[in-house]
Amino acid sequence: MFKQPIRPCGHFKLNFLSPCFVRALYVLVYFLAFASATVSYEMAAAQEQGDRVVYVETKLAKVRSQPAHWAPALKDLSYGDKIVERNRSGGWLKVLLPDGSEGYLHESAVTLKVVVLKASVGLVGDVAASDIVLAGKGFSGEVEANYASDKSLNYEEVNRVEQYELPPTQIADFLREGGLNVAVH
Amino acid sequence: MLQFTRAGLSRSSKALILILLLLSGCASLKDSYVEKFGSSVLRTVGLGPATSVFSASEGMVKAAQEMSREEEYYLGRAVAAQILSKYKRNEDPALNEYLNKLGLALAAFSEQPNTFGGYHFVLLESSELNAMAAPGGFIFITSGMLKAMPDEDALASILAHEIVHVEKRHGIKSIKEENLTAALLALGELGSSLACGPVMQQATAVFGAAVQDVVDTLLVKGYSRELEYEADAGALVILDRTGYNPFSLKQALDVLDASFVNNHTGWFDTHPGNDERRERAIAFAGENNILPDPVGVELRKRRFVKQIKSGQ
Repeated sequence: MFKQPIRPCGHFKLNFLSPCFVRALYVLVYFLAFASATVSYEMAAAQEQGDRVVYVETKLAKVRSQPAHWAPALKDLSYGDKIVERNRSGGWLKVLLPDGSEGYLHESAVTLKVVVLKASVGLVGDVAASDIVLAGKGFSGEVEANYASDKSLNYEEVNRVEQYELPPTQIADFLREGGLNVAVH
Repeated sequence: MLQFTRAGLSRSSKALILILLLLSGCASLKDSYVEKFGSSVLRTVGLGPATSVFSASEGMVKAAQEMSREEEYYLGRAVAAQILSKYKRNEDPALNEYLNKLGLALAAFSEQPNTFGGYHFVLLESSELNAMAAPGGFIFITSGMLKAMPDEDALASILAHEIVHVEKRHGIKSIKEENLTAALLALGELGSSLACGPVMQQATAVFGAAVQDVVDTLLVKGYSRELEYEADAGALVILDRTGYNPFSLKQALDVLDASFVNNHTGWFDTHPGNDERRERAIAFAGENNILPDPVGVELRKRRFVKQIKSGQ
């Protein structure tokens, strides 16, 4: 019903409906799949038996040098980033960094589900329903922008509150000076 | 130019439309299109066996029907924006630093030290005695409540109680069932796009209704008694792990009872009677071997008093 003859690509003419364009898309999709497989291979090369892949489920996650909230940060990860978990103890994951070194992430910052970023929708393999987190769905930044434009809400103050940060070492000092526990768990 | 006549729509046109829809997130159009033309077109553009893509698509639709931590974060930001439109912040640097050190220290000992956007402790300028938590980690306490507490341990018990509301996602549980259902149905689509005007308007309306339910619960109606008891029990665990005296929660409730004579708003409107809370908390502590721990209370009280005085 929708059959079209396959014609060779002749002189260049931009036509989004042409079979040439579809074939170009074909090549692009395979290239992306190849690039993705190459990255996976590099990660797999350093993996050991028992390792597993986890996804960052927070806006920002800091990989730390020790399994402690107050330890120096080695690397910042973003929502949806994939990282290899070596093992897990006391709520902390030992993770493998892309350069082959290791660090620690708290388990509350990651998920075993596959975090699917908006740009990747449609390129996911056969993953079970319960194993997916969709980023950017539903209540998103776009919905917020639309919501905020209709009402006189104080988002400016919310942003200021979010920007306020304290170095983790100050919190460790606060605990220590108060005779409290510094080591979590 | 794309031709949308039923008979004349070519395979390449459909491929292009489908890819654009998959990437744009214009859900309703996309779903109907996938259903109608999906298998043949996906094979054409080399996205692999159609069955694989379809099972992933079904999976994503189901995944979309759960509120993600990212969505909870945006819900919390909207609730925070409402609260900060109603209350003025107390921006005293020393008090805010003290409050955030205390709050972040407690959050580290909770079951959920990391939320999508992190914990933020906000001091509101109000003589009302109140504390509340928006979904995702925005925790508010009034300057009246801060000053009414006798020491750091009692203040810690109030903050720990609010952290548990975040940790247990009580804010989402306060959304009326019909609004939550509407949210999950309307927003359970694969992304949203400003290009899809009606979808965005619907999403924004549902978002607004859900935000209003949470705000009403925090400021007017309060959580159910069971959720408050759960927050008290969780607070005892956090206090115990951190090294605070868990029984400071009882002390904080005693102070609030004493203040009730002069102040009937805020906390008293939104929290159940303190007698039963005390009894339940003591019973929970007994069952879980959580003991009074007065060591260091005086040490911490000295820095608390110093901070409160410096902030006046």
